[in-house]
Amino acid sequence: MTQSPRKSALRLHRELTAIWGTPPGWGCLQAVNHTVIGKRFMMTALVFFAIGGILAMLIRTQLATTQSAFLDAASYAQVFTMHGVVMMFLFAIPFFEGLAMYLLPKMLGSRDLAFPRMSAYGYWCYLFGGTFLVGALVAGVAPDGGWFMYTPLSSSTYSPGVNADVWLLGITFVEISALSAAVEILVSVLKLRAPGMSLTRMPIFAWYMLIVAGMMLIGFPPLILGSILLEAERAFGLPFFDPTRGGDPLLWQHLFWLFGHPEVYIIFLPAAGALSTIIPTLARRPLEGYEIVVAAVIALAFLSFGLWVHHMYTVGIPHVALSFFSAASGLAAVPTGVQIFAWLATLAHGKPRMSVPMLHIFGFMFVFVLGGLTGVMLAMVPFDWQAHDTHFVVAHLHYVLVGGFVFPMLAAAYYWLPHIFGRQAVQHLSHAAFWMIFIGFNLTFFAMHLTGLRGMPRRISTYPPEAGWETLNFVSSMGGFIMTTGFALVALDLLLLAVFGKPFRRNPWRAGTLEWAMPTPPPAYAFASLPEISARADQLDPDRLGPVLASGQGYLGATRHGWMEIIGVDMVTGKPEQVVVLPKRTYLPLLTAIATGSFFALILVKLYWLAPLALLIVTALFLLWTRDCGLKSDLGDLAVGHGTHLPHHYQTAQPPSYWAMVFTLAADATLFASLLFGSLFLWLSAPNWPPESVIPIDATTSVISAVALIVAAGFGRGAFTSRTVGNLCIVAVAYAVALLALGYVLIEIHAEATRHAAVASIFAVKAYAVLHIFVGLILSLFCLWRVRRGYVSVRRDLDLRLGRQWHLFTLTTGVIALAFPFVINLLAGGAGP
Amino acid sequence: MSGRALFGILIGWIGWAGGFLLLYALQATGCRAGWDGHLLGPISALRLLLIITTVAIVLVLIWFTVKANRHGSTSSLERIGVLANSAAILAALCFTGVIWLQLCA
Repeated sequence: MTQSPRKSALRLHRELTAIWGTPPGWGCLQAVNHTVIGKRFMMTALVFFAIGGILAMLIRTQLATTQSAFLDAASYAQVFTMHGVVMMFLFAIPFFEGLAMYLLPKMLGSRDLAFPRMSAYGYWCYLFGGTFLVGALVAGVAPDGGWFMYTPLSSSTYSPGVNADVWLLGITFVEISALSAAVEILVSVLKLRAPGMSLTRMPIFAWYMLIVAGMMLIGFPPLILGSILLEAERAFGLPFFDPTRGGDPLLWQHLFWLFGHPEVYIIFLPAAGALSTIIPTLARRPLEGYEIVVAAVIALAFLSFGLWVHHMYTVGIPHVALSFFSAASGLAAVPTGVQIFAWLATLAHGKPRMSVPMLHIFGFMFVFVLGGLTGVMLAMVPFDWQAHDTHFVVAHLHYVLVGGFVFPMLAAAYYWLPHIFGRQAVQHLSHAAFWMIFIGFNLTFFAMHLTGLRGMPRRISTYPPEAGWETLNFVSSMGGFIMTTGFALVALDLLLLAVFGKPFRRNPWRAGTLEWAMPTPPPAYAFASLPEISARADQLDPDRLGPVLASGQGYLGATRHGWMEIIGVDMVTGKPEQVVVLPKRTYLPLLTAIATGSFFALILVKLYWLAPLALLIVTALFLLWTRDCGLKSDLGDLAVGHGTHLPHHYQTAQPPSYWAMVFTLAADATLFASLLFGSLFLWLSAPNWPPESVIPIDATTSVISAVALIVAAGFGRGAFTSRTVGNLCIVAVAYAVALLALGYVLIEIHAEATRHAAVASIFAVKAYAVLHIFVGLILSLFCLWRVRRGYVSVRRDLDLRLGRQWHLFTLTTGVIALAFPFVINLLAGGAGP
Repeated sequence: MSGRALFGILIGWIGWAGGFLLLYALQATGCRAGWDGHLLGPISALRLLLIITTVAIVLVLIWFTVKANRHGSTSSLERIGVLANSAAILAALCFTGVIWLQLCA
């Protein structure tokens, strides 16, 4: 007997909800579902936004009048530092990470992201790291050296308390979530799309997020490296930034801004992606110049990495080098302009629907373009020399970030909240809230341009009456309070939407993207069956597709063994390649994040001897993640519907985890390259070079380590082709030998490493190699266990494939690390006996 | 196929970024080594090296674009590649300061 489409849809819904859903109560701590994690990211980010906003109000209260006694200088330093830290690290990036996690699988016609447990782990790291930072503020020990934590102010000599450590450890902890999100998004966009959705059929938002994830992968490692090096200086005396011992404070600025300038675009581009999605829908016309917009985003991504010295014009860099960065800064306006003209053309050729999201898009256009113009002014070296470190720069960055992020975020919130809550806005407060934010913002920050041009420096807590800045500051403060009231109205408006909003049937904006081809609020599995895409995925008909997919007529329209199944496709063509079976919900991400947090907490309280134990627990917990992974016997191809059969992802050459390893190693390589760059920078620029005495080198241990690494990589490759236990045993033994040899070297030179930055650099490079060798050892033992337990066969060789990638990477970086002391000695040729 | 097609739309900008780093590193190393003080006719050895490197970078970028487009830009992805790679060639404008600006502090 055949069921009616409605009955079969209901049955499928119940079966899929049992598989993909998150249980209530304590069970919610197991959640790994992208809808749940995405919403948690966004909600948590909004809480941090509120905290950052309150801090901004404290700043404006302090600066409203001359010689204000509202905050003392020390408290003010903590408040303005934490305002920047919260807004940049705890609000802006995590909010759009959450939005991307929530939207991407739905827009791409998939059921979840590639690594749901990694998303959950990233979320917990973000929550704990953010709480750690805000808790420090409550305890009065928050960072107080500015959100960029410049050395030498943040070095232990000038910041002896734990405030700077809180920043360094807290931010590194939070950035784990950014890096895990980057890998997650890259793999998900490239591999987990609906069948037939080629790269150029992707909705434009996916292009933006793909490029942003790539930027995060390359942009965050320099910051993480800088934080590790500065913490190593503060905790163990390795003098990377101390000019009296061969270090250089400017190294911090290079590492920080290598991250910091792309960060601005990492914040702006997801917002631009949201605009490129919303504007065509509201204009009732496809985005003009889809291809040129994609090319412009690629250009902007690369240009954003060529601007880092843009923040360092006044540190004494030669003119020609300044010209590289100044020209690149100016050029960044071109691809930005391409996007703005594409949006204007879409609006001009369409029939724009005036609505609340459109109002915020207007706010974006006005504010962001002004911010972009002052950005071009600041890109010009002579003007920047005049305005550097004044309130003009503060005004510019707020015009760019609020214009380029907050207004689009509000447009996105009003546009997608009906999707999240299944209700439409009642809009009693929406217009008033917008105008209060818009007027308040411009009052605050337009006046701030003028205070800056009249010479008011950043970060000062008071100013004398005769400076003539009081009226403008008072206007800024009043504007700030108006803007805050506007944000409070938005919060109330959204609350009213969630509680009293009007229910709707489907697709209230008449959009052409796939996220509207599902019930709202969305079920945990997103799509009951997956669509086949034969046109650009922002010009579809969700009203027709929705019922078809809900009744199971797409791909994977039935359940199998209780598996969480999605389809993996060819990265470019979108041709179906594999059935990806995702792991189930678990408490492990939460437990692993707690263990990770305990590592950072132990470092903060200076229990260094105990910290490695926390790392071992983290490693053990990560190994427990693999319990649900793998197959113990070969499977035939699996039916996915429409007469198509695909292999299980464990039986393919390049499943999502293969690409995750590739991207993780790319981030890792960036960190290593940044470390080498830092060391060579010190040789080029730091005072007190070369060191007074010879840098110790032990050629014997270097040769032993190199041979061991070659053996490990060679037999790792052999193990991949032969799958024999013997090969893997040799890999493990070789790594153990390399670990002992290099560990001995580290112990030998650790005392010398505090003497001069040259030795500290060698120590850091070798420590990097030791860490990778340790991971290689764990990986080889893990592969050994998997082979013995029957998880590996000719068709199921993923573990060995991942191992081979790691062994090759460790060999390459290890050999460079071993050669590094010889290079440094050669360069520092003047080292005397 | 997949990797090559994706690489094709990024190759120009990867080349531009590599060229940027190479020029910046050469300039800093040259200043440290005193190459700006060695005159080769009317210009210094460092300036000559930087100009030659800039020209080489531009030629390599043009070669990347031509090679990526040798079969014609028939697909949408190929057209995006041509646009992105052409933009990378134009962005080599950033390096023209090597001709006349002060090289070392």
